[in-house]
Amino acid sequence: MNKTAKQPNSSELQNLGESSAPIADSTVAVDRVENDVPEKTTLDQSPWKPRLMNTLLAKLKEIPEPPPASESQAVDKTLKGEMDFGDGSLDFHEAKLSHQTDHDEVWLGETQASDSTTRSMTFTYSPGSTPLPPYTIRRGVGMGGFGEVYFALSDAGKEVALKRIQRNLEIELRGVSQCLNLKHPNLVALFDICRDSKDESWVVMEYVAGLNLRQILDESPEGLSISEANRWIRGIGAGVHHLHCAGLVHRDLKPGNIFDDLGQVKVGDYGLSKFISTSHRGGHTESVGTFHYMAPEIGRGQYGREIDIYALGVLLFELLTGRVPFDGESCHEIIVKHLTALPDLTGIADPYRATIARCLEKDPGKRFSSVAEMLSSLENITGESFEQQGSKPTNGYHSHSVLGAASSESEPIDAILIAATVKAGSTRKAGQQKAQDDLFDEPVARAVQTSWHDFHRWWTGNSRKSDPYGNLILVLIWVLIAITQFAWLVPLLSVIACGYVPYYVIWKMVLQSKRQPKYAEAQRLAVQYAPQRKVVSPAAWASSVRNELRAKPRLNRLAELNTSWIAATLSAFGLAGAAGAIRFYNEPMPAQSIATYAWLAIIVLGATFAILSLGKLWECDDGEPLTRRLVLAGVGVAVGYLAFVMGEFLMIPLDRALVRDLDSTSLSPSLYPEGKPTVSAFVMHFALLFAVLRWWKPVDPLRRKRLSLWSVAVAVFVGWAVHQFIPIPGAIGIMVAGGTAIAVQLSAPWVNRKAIQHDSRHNQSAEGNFVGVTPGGSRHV
Amino acid sequence: MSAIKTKPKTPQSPVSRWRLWVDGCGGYLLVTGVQWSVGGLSRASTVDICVQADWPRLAGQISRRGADYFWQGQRSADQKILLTDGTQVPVDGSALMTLGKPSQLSDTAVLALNGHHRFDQHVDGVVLVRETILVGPGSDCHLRCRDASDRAILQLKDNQWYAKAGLAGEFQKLELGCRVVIQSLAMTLELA
Repeated sequence: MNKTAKQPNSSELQNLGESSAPIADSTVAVDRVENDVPEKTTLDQSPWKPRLMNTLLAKLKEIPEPPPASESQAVDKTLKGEMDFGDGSLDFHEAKLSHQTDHDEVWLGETQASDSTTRSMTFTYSPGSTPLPPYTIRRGVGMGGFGEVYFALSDAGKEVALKRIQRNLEIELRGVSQCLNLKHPNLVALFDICRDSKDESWVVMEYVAGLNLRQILDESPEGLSISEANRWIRGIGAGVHHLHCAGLVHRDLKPGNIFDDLGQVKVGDYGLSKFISTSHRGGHTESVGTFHYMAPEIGRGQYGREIDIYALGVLLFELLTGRVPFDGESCHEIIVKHLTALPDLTGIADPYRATIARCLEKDPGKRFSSVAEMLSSLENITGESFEQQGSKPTNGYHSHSVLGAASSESEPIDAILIAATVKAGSTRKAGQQKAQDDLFDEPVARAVQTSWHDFHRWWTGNSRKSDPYGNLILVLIWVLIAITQFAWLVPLLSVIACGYVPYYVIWKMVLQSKRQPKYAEAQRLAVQYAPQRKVVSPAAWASSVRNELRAKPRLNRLAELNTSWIAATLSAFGLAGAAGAIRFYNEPMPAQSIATYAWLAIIVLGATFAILSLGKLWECDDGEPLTRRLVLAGVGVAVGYLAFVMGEFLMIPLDRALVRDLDSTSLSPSLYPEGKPTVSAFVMHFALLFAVLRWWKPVDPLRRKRLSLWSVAVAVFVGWAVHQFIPIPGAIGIMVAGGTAIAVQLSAPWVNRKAIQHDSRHNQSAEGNFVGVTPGGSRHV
Repeated sequence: MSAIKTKPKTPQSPVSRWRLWVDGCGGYLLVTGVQWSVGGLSRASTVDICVQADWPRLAGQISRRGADYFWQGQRSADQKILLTDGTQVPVDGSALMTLGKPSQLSDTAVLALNGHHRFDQHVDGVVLVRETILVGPGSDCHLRCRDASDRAILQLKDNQWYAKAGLAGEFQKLELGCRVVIQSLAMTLELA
């Protein structure tokens, strides 16, 4: 963040000068400064340097004294909201105080390059008031040079900014029309200057909705990107150039006066400074400027366009680095640096370094003679046009050319972009590509190429790969034909070549010359050289699809769950049937075994239903594992209870096959009275089984594979491990774990990422940066 | 595919509307409810959020479910798109509208336009209100006043707005049409 200078307090000012007189705002007033300095003398060796500095500093004496203590306290009270707002109104006393506060606040605020946080937002006029019919004030915008700025609406709804000229300022209307009638897209338009019923002056001007450059730079303490800096300096330059062409000098260029009107750079507060003066000065013009952007020759009373170019150099420096070239703890120090110090340009690359250095020359004669020259210096050094140096405007709006209205020969933006992207590629590659493109536009060559591609596709296809011996035989046959028929093949090919070459030359010369320019070619170039679509990481892809899942309507969710349940039913009974068929492959299946496998199917089905339901609830986010495990433990309790009840119902012998592989200690009599597992054993077994495994993973639509055998193996292993501690008959827990792992994966929806990406690559019209993921584009299998 | 109704307002989600003018910050349309119709400006415009742009008269609607905001386009009414912080609302046209949810402490969202477009009623943004609005200089504030040095919290209770300075202040009623100064913030509320 830019460290800014503070306005000196009154005691400092007394030390700097002798008398004080009020001036308009935060700026340094310089009028009728002695101008008897030899131009050729350099600043460092000049004997008049202290004198010049004193001349500048003497103007600080004219800054008004702070308000008396009692008044300041009252102002503070107003600012801190300590007044009674019971009725929400703002009385006249408050308005008056705020008016006086403005006087103080403005010069304090505006001499600071970046710190504006102490400003009061108290304005004289409240929303709804109409001090200048037909405009109705809606809100205060800020404190600009010379006074408050309001956002107002005309009766017809025209949005304008009203600037109230304050502090005994008078406007010299003669000559102001020169400012009022300036028209340029990079200048804030001035509509009129009016007087209200109290004979107060108001400037009616264009309302700019965006931020000013000061606010933007405050958010980018390291400076803006090159492209953004280019956009800003080009817009500012175009506006200032237009001013210069109109015979005006801005004299107060600073970030606070430059706005981003939603993509369009606009320079404000221009020109009027020449026509606004304090009444007691007898109409003497009053120069304005902020210390950080003030050219050294201002002290000599020189207000040529060079001071704007100097300020442009400072602005360019600040755009690139986020700081001003000459900074200090006091305005005294800043002014001395402007007069004597050289800017530190290390870290700034060419062409900006050279341009800034020349802009910041102490001698105005050594600076660029015009803004156009300054901007063109950037072009010359880089060897490419300024538009191509990242001048693409934001928000899709085309900025104007460097010289704005003065230059109308700028290329169409599309042509520039295509040219730039083509240029960015390898020249050699581009040359080769061009030759190939020309060649394959020719019909015969195109037919040969297409045939070759077809052959290549066939040769490398799956059918040929699976038959290596066939390929070998084919190659041998072709070689044999080539050897045996060599005698006539070579002459034939030679004749064809001899015929083709003149044909191609004639085609190229005659037919091509008649061909109209093809816009399709430009499109093809643009597509060909377009930046590659960003291939997103799996995490980003998952996040995107997860967002789509969150957006899924509840009804769709319910329908999917219903489908999954149907699939789960088929899967569970299918698995149980398959297990039974394998077990009793070549022997008759007893009725009790049928009941056992039906029992298995029912348990798997119950578990799968529950997990699928939870998975549907949890698919929207990654969730908290601990919470999910606790919920799954509850599901395990229910499944265990179901298993016990169904076992009793189907008369399964529950006291059999309680054999364990590892733990041969005796079973707990409370869980296994008389060697038969109780409902508690079942409940604990399944609760443990469900709590240990992350069952939400196999039902997650974003899982890697539709059916992961690894997940099944892990489930079986955990089932076996649980069986070692709390066995249930027939190792049914192990089979339930494996069967459930298979059934939930087969039943749960699955987003096939690879398939979507593959589809997207073939879909050139897909929009967005994501490969394969467009809204609604995820494919559930 | 089914088109959404042109009158999305339902008795369950009445939309109340105010305009809040904050000095040095901007003008905002405050709307309550859980779903809002969005469209371009037309003579017979009935949408909740109206943009002066080449948008259809009814482009779609934004709805809030829990803490999430969704976009449901008029042309694809059966598809809802989640709008996260900074998401651009997918409407065909030259205006680009983004939804911002700057604060984790509040589900209130702010709609802003990029480009040379304005909302109807001359406001700079539309606030989809969920109880509270944060006003202040920070990027986590719904209404960001860069030049302000203080924060204020606006709260809606029984269709009445209250405001207080920071976390420690006491809520005071925001009267319609009266400018209220809360430390360095000055604001005026009016019915829209």
